[in-house]
Amino acid sequence: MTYLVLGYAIAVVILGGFLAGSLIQLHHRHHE
Amino acid sequence: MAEVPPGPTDPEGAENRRLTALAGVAVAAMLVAGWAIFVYAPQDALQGPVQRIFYLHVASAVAAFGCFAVVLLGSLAFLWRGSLVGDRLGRAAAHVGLVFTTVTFLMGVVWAKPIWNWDPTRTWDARLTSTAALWVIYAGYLLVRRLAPPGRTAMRLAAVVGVIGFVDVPVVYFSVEWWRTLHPGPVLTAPGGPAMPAPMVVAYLVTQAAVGLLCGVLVAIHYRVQARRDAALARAVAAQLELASAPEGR
Amino acid sequence: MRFAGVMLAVAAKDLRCELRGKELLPALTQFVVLSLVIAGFAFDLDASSGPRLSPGILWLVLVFAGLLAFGRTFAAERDVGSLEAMLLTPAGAPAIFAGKALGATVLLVACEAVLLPAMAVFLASPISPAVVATVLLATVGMAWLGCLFAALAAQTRARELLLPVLALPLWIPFVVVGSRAVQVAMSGGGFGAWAPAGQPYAVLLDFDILFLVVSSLAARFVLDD
Repeated sequence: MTYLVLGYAIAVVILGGFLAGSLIQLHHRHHE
Repeated sequence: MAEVPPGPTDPEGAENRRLTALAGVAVAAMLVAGWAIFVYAPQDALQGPVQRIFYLHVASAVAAFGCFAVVLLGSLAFLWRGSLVGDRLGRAAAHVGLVFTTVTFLMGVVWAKPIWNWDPTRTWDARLTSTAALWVIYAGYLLVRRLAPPGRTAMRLAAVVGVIGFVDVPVVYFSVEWWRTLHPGPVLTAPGGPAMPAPMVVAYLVTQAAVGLLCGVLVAIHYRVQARRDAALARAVAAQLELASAPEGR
Repeated sequence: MRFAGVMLAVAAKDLRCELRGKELLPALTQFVVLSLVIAGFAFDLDASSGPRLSPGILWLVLVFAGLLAFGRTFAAERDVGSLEAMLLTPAGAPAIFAGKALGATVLLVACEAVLLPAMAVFLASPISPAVVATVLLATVGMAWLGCLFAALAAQTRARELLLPVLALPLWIPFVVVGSRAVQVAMSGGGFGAWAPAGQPYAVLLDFDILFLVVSSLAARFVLDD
C-alpha cells in the first residue's frame, strides 16, 4: 500500500511541478 | 521600451489564457482519472493495491513514446524541408517526453520492488534498462541541441539524433526483452483482447486520455514559450542591424 | 563503382596515417592489455572464473576501446581541417563517411587481434572461430554507429561527453546480442550451432545491416552543411 502511495506521490510531484514550471514560463513576459 | 499593455489587442495574453485554460481542463481530467484509478477500478486479486500503479505507469509510457514520435517527425521535417517549426516542436516534445519517461521509470521501479521483491543489485530487467536507455538518448538529443554551434548546425545535428534515437528505441526494447525480462507480458495488447476485466480497461483508457491531454498541453506550452523566445531574439537582432545601418550623427 | 573507390581510398589514407604516426594503435593495445590485467586482479580471476566472466569482460573492453577509437577518428581530422577539404570534392559525404568508418573498424579489429589471444592466455577464455566471427560482426555495426556519433560530437563543444552519451544506449543491442552469441560460442556452440541456437548470429547480422544503412543515410546530414 505504501508503494502505491509512493508511486503516485512521485508522479504527482514530477508532473505537477513540471506543469507549474511550464505555466510560469508561459506567463513570464519578455520585455525588449 | 515596448511593453505590451494587457487588453483586447494583446494576442500574447489571449494565448496565455487559452493555454492556461486548457491546462486546467487537463488537470480536471487527471482528477477524473484519479477517481477511475482509485475508486472505479476493482482491486487486483493477485497483486493487491500496488497493481493500481499500472494505470499511470503505462499511460505515461505511451505518452513518452508519443512525444518521441513527435521528435521524430519534427526532426524529419527539419532535415527534409528545413522546417523551423519541426525543430521547435521536436525540442518541446523532447522535454515533455523526458519528464514522462522519468515518471514511467520511477513508477516501474516502485512497482517492481514489492511485486518481484526486486533488488536492483541482483538482477536487472529488460524494460527498466531500455527505458533508461531511452531517457539517455533523448537527454542526448537536448544536449546536442545545446552544445552544438547554435543555429542551423545545432538543429541539424539534433535532428539526426532525434531520428536515429527513435529507430533504435524498438531495437533496444526487443533486444533487451529477448535477453531477459521479469516484466509482465503484454496485458492490454495480448492476442485475443485485453487480459483484464472491463472496468480496469476502462480505468486505463480514461487515464490514458487524461495523460494524453496533459501531454499535449505541455508540448503546446513549451512550443509557444520557445517560439516567443525565438521571435524576441529575431527582433533584437533586427533592431541591432537597423541601429548599425542608421546614418551617423542622427 | 565510385562509392567503393572513395571509401577504400579514405580508409587507406587513414590507415597509412596511423601506420606512420602510430598514435592510436599503441594506445588501444595498451588499453586492452591493461584492462585485462586489471580485470584479472579486480575479479580475482582464476582458471574457473575466467571463462565464466569472459563474455562480460570482452564486451566491457570492446565498448571502451571503441569509444576511444571512434572518438579519435574524427578528432584528428577536425584539428587539421582536412575533413572540410574532402567534403569539397565531388566524392560525396556517404562514401567519405564509409571510408572513415571502415578505417576505424580495421583499427578496432587490429586491437581485437590482441585482445582475443590475450584473453585466451590470461583468462583461459575459450576463443573459438565462432567467437571471433561474433566479435567481428558486432564490431562492424558498432563502428558505423560509433563513427556517426563521433562525427556529430566532434562538431560540438563537449565531444568527450557527448560521444558516450549518444553511442552507449544505441550500442546496447550489440552488446546484449553479442554477449549472448559469445556465451553460446564459448560454451561450445561453434558454427554447428548456427541453427536454432544460431539465432544470435542472425540477429547480429540484422543489426549490422540496419545500422549500416541508417548511419550511411544519416552521414550526409552530419558531415555536410
